Order: sequence, then C-alpha cells, then structure tokens
Amino acid sequence: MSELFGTHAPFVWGALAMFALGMAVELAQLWRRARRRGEAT
Amino acid sequence: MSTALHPFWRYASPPQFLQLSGTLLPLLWAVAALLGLSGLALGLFWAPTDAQQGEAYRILFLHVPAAWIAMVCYGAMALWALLGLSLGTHLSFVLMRALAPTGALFAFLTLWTGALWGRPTWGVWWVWDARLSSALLLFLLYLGFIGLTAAVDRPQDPRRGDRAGALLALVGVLNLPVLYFSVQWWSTLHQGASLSPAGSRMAPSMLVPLLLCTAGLWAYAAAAVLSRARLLLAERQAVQARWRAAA
Repeated sequence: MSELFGTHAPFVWGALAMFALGMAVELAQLWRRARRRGEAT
Repeated sequence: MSTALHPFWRYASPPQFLQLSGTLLPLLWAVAALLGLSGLALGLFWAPTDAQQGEAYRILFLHVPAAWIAMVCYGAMALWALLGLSLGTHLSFVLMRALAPTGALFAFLTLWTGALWGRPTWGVWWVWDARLSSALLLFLLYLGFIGLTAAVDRPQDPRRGDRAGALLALVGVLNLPVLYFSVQWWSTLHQGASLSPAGSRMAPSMLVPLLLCTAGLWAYAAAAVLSRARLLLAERQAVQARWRAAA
C-alpha cells in the first residue's frame, strides 16, 4: 500500500492514522460514558 | 415575555432538546459514515495527483475540514457561552461544554495533519508564523477551557464551572478572526483559503472529495457533540437527584 502515495506515503498514512485514532478514542469515551450512565439508571 | 419568542425558548428546554437530538442522531451518524468514507475514498484513490505538491496534497481532504470544524466549534462555544450568561439557559452551558472536547480533537488533528503536510511541502514540520501560532493557540484555548471547567466545578453545582468556562470562551473568541485572516494580514508560509464565499479554483475532481469529506466530518462532529450534550444533561440530572435525596 505504501507505493500508493510514493515517497509521501508516510505523511498521508500518518495523517489518516491519527484521524482514525482520534475519532476512535472520542467514540470509545462517549460509548463508555453512555454505558456507565445506563448502568446507573 | 413576548409570545413571538416562543419557538426559540422551546428549544432551550432540555426535554425538547433530547427529543430533537434523538431524532437527528441516527441520521447524523449515517451521513457521517456515508459521506465521510466516500469522500475519503475519492480523495485518496480517485482524485488526481497534484502537479506541484505531488501525493502529499491529499492530506488536504482531512486537514481543511478539521481546521474549519475546530474554528466553528469554538465560535459556537462562544455563542452558547454568551447565551448562557445573558439568558441563564442551562442547556446553553451544556452545549458549550459538549463542544469543547470535539473542538480540541479537531484542533489537534489540524496541527498534526498540518505538520505532516508541511514537512514534504515546505521542508519543515513547524514555523512560528501567524496562521500556525494562532491554530496552536486555539488548541491551547480548548485545553484551557476543559481544564478550567474541571478545576472550578463543584460536584453538586456545575454553575461555577459554567460561568468560568463561558468567560474564557468569550475572551478566546478574539483569536478566531486572527486565525482566519492571518494568511491575508501577514506574510506566511501557509497557503491562502482553499474555498471562500467567492468560490473555488480547485478542479472538480479535487473539490468534490473535499466537499464530501467536509460534510461527513461535520456530521460526525455534530453527532459527537449532541451525544455528549445528552450525556451531560443526564449526568447533571442524576447528580441533582442524588443531592435532593440526601438533603
């Protein structure tokens, strides 16, 4: 896959990976909070 | 109170908000997944290579929407802060607080993707110019807001944290025009606006993926903020109920 973006591949994939990680962390936090809320009620 | 204001006040009511956001949320998550992923796929695999910047320009499909979201979230935070302070509406403060983590995430992603785009294009990860410095300040303002509200909050009464956060949000909003107009006001390494109300000079094969990514990420940000606001409301109600029961 790294050939896809030539010499710029680490930069493009690095941007994508951090985006995916950031959104995954935010969604996991929301999900965990919602589950805790559900357990409390 | 004039009855002409009635629809406005209706949406300041938590039950109305819960009903409206409950209806909107599944739609927003679906739009986010559909448009975001299709825009990204088109941007990464279909859009042509840029003649000047090569493949690195594809970071634009993430960087530009992230920067817009980070800026607009802060503007919205300041607007809710102003409404909360002037009208005393509880929901305004809840929405103000719900915006901060998502805004902080997108401000961080703007800096991260900007650095990864800057290195192959300018030869440096970072420069202390007006655009980059004001973007960093925006991220720090979000962190400051989150830290301040958490530090000032009392378990039984979030109003102190609400007011302190609202003041910081209103002071920090002065950074937004500096951030937006920095590429016009000063000479910077950063390129000018990709899109403006006057239009765009981008090729349609690049513009379409950018607009799709923007719509998808906007839907994601709106869904995350609304979900957090619903949780905040529920948590505040639970705390109030516990204190009333203990009193």
